[in-house]
Amino acid sequence: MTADDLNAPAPPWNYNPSAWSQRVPIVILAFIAFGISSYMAAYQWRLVDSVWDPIFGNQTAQVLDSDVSERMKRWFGIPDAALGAVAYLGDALFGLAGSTRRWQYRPWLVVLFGLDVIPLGLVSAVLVLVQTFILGTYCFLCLVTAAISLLLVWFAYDEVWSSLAYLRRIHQKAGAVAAWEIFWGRRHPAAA
Amino acid sequence: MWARWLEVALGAWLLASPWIFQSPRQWTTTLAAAAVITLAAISCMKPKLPAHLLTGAIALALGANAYFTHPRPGPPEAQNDIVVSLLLLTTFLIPNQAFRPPRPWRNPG
Repeated sequence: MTADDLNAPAPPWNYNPSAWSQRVPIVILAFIAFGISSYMAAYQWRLVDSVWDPIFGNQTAQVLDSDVSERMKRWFGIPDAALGAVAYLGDALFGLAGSTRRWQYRPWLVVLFGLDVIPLGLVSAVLVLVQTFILGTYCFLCLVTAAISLLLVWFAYDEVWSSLAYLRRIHQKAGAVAAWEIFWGRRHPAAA
Repeated sequence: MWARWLEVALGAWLLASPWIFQSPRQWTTTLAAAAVITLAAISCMKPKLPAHLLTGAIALALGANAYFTHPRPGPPEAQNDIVVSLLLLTTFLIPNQAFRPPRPWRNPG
């Protein structure tokens, strides 16, 4: 494996987690979740009169109009669904950016992508589940986006792991300065 | 350059927002829109000059202005400013030639 082969596998995997075949499903899922969240935000903004729920009837509307949701709107200044939509769009855009060897060439971008997908995804999924059990009402679209969040975490972690493992190897081999330079996309003699 | 085109589109949306929301024109929003479009255009014309990084500061100012100068949740135009500022905070970090490796990695070492 040379440092210039864009399709080389990334240790510890025997495949390239930055390949388009790995990233396109993430981007598609994130765009789907963005669309669903935008639709729920449109309801919270009253741009649409009702919200579609094929299983739980008007429970989705009850969740989106709940006190918890109103409180979050006062905290953030915008509906919580709009905040979710921005986060999912961020997942999609950060998933698109970078070459097929970004795990090595742009670790900062992969870490940023990981921060957007993994902690935010887990938090949003937990929030949806907590809201469901606290309110005792079920929001079909919220559950769909929570499931997508967990899928995104599953799809994204290998690339983030590769980047962090690579930085750790550089740190052990050449020290913190080399790892810092490589983190920001600079080339260093220690980079294999 | 696709991230810069997204920023131009967001800037154009900000410029059009007083008509869309039928609200009085806010000079802060207009100024932010003009600055976002200008910085994205500079980045497109001079890809080595990462002018778009300044968009992050403009996005923070736009969002903070909308967040702190209105009751929460604010009127539609304030919520629009917050959403656009969050979107700009996402796009401004994306490099100009996002699909290509960074310059130091483009030539075999």
